[in-house]
Amino acid sequence: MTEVLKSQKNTRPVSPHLQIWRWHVTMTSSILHRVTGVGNTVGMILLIAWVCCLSNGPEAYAKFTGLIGSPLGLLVVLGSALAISYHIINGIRHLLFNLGVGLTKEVASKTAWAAIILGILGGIGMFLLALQALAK
Amino acid sequence: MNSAKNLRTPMKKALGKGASGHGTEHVIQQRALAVGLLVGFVFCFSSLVFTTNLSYESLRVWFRNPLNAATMAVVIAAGAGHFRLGVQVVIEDYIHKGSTKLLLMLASTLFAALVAMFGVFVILKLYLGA
Repeated sequence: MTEVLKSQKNTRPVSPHLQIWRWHVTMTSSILHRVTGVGNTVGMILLIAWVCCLSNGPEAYAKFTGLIGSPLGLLVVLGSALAISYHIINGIRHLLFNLGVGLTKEVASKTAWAAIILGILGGIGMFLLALQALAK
Repeated sequence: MNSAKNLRTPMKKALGKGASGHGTEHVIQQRALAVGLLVGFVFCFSSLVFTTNLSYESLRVWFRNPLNAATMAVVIAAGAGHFRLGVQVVIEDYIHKGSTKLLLMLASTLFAALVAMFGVFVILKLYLGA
């Protein structure tokens, strides 16, 4: 930011950017929403690969589950579950915003915390539900 | 109204759409796709973890059900539409070079189209049991 100001010889007013704002939770929830959104875009490849391998027969599916069941694969699945969970919960928060609900500073901050905490719990829950289904 | 100062026609003012006449559909589509995606995803996920054991056999049976197959196809297609609009906003926010922006926009649109088409074809294949 200082470089930007210098390059402009401190003459032009610059709108406050990330480095200038004091941290607040609604900022984090917004950034996380974008990051998880892009993450889910990449995660879509995983879903497509899953149904594609499934349609290609038992051997192809076994290969896919082998890859997904590896430590790295499980980490990707957990990360994807967290990203989906948070994006859904914070997405509902955004839909409520669009209806004009919860737009005050206090409520928006509280629901931001709620979305982050519920998002993490939901993601872990989704992961455990999938493991529990596999154990049936 | 001073016609010398304001060149807007009464019709233009009555429609109230400003210069471009479009743009709100991006926001509305993003929300509509989000709602569809939300319902579809919750249905598919809970149905999969509660009624199958995620094995090859049980999943093939799951996909033979038309409601399951159709909902999964909606999740993939609506997901592709939703992420295309979302990625467009991200590109517009961070990429300011015209040619790069154009290329990325084209790539993300084609990727979304491919994901949607490919996904629906695969679901159809699974549904038909081929």
